[in-house]
Amino acid sequence: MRSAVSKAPLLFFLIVLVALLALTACGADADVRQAQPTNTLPPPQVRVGLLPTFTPQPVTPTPSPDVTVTLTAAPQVQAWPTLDEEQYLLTLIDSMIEKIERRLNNTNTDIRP
Amino acid sequence: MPTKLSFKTLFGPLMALVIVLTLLLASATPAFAEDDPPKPIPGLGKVSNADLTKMYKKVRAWYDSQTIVIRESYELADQFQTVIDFYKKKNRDVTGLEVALVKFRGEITKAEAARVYTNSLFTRNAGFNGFFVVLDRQLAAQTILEARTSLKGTHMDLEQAIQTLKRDYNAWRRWMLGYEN
Repeated sequence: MRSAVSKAPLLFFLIVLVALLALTACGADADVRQAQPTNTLPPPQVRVGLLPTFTPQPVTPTPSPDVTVTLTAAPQVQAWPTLDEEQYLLTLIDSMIEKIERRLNNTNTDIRP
Repeated sequence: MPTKLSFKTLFGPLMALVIVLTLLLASATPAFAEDDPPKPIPGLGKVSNADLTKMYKKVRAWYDSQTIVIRESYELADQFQTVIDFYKKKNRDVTGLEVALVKFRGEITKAEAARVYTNSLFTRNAGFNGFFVVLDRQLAAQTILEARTSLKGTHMDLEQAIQTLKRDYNAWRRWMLGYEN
């Protein structure tokens, strides 16, 4: 009975010791592993002298086939109002009169609430 | 012997209280409305202060519209002058147009003078404060009536002026085209 009581601290000590050894072993194993470098793109091996440059090629003109162009009278659009100044002026007067008449007719002259 | 308070015991008095409050508020509502009763004003009938404010705003809108018409009339007169100059260069007889334009310019000048007078009424703003609130009913009504009279007269003058100008212009065009002589 007495020997059983005295063995308990010893057992506890052993367990702790094993745990420490295991932890130490893990740490040592971690130190062994080397950090692997991540794959990176190789540095660009471009030298200025080797850069591709554009050299213009001499263009040889190809003779265009003879095409007989027939000129047709296309409708010519002239800028407004130079088309017909007289018509423009008269139309403008008409529209201005109409606008004023419309505004006068649409005025609300009833002020009752 | 104290009784225990519960929802059932309180429901009756609460409902009674709600009914009493509802009746009180319902009876008070007409009292608020009576703050601005419509009263007769010569020339405007029975109107409240709120009605006077609405009328004032309508007169102001009318004035704004009339100002635009006068401005457009000036532009029309200028365009008329351009037409006269154009036909003068072509050695056409533009006497009819010139006479019409002189008459029209006279009418616009009259309308512009009336507009200035109406504007002075709004500048004076008698009877109102700057927020269209009636301060004096009689003065407010007077402002509205004077502005309406001026605007109405100018409106009719402008209508007549435009009709006369249009008639003279069309007559000249027909004459120029040879339909009439």
